[in-house]
Amino acid sequence: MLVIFLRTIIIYFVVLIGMRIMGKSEISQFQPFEFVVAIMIADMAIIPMQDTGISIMNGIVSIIALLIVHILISVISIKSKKVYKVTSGNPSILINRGKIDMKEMEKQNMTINELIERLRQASYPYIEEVYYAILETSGELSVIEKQDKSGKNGNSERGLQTSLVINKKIEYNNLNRIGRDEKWLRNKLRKLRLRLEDIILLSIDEQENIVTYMEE
Amino acid sequence: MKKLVWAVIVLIIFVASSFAIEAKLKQSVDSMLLKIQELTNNLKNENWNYVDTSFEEMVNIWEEKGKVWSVIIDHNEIDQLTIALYKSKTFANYREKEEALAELKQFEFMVDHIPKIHKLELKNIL
Repeated sequence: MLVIFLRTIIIYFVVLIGMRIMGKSEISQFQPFEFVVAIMIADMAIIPMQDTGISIMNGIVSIIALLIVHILISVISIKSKKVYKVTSGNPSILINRGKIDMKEMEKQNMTINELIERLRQASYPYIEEVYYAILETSGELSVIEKQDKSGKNGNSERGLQTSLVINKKIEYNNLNRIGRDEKWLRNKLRKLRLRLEDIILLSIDEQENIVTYMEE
Repeated sequence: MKKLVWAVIVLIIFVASSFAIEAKLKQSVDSMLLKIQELTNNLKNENWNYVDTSFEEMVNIWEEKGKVWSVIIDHNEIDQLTIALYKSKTFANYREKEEALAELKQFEFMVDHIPKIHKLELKNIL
């Protein structure tokens, strides 16, 4: 019994260190590939805990292998949009300017009832108050409301903020989505005297307010 | 970036350690197989004095190596090896030549089998 007890403690600390390396405090913050790693680590941890016939090193090596793969994929995802898209997907706009996008709903296998339920859980019991509802890659639902609780216009005036430049690279999909092209963007940058090579993040809202974060 | 560097370092250490452990295991297995072969010959020739001494040595060698191998090899496999060896020794004590040889052969097969199942090969991965 003491053997199992000690094996459990050892593996617990290995898993704890692993979760700290992953860096997320809540499971709701996990991207899909992180969720997969977390589940697999949990499964792999249980087997050597209970089965004294299995060498504890086998369990620890498996957990460490998963963490190494996770770190490599995380780093590559940051550098490569294509890899990020494969591992995490893209956010989905389910309610776009107050209108429900049924095509996106179908893509996400979500019914209207589920959407209403998720909005209620996000403290938006009245769907007509919602200007944008975005299903994030972590599965969380983000909402931009039409009016805030005092009845004043909320963030709906500004609408959705779209990132046009991330890490010095132009987001062509987002440019197309707002009906603009690269020529328009480069003109904007010229007028603002900004260089693409210096921009970490450039976002624009529906009022064409531009927010930029530059490399220091 | 720091995490990536550490991850790559750990990966390199793992890979290097695996090859080192594989080589050490092979060496250990080879020396045991030589001893088993010697014991087998003595059993076949019914040199019972040599057999008794060799089995005692074999048991001592196995008790030492078993502790080290149990870190990387399933304990069930270690148990099966121990059982096969002790069975063979017991049969030899009672001068049951054929049974002792059969159990020793099983022990030999399992010892030889261990580095093969831990070797980095496609059939082991699949």
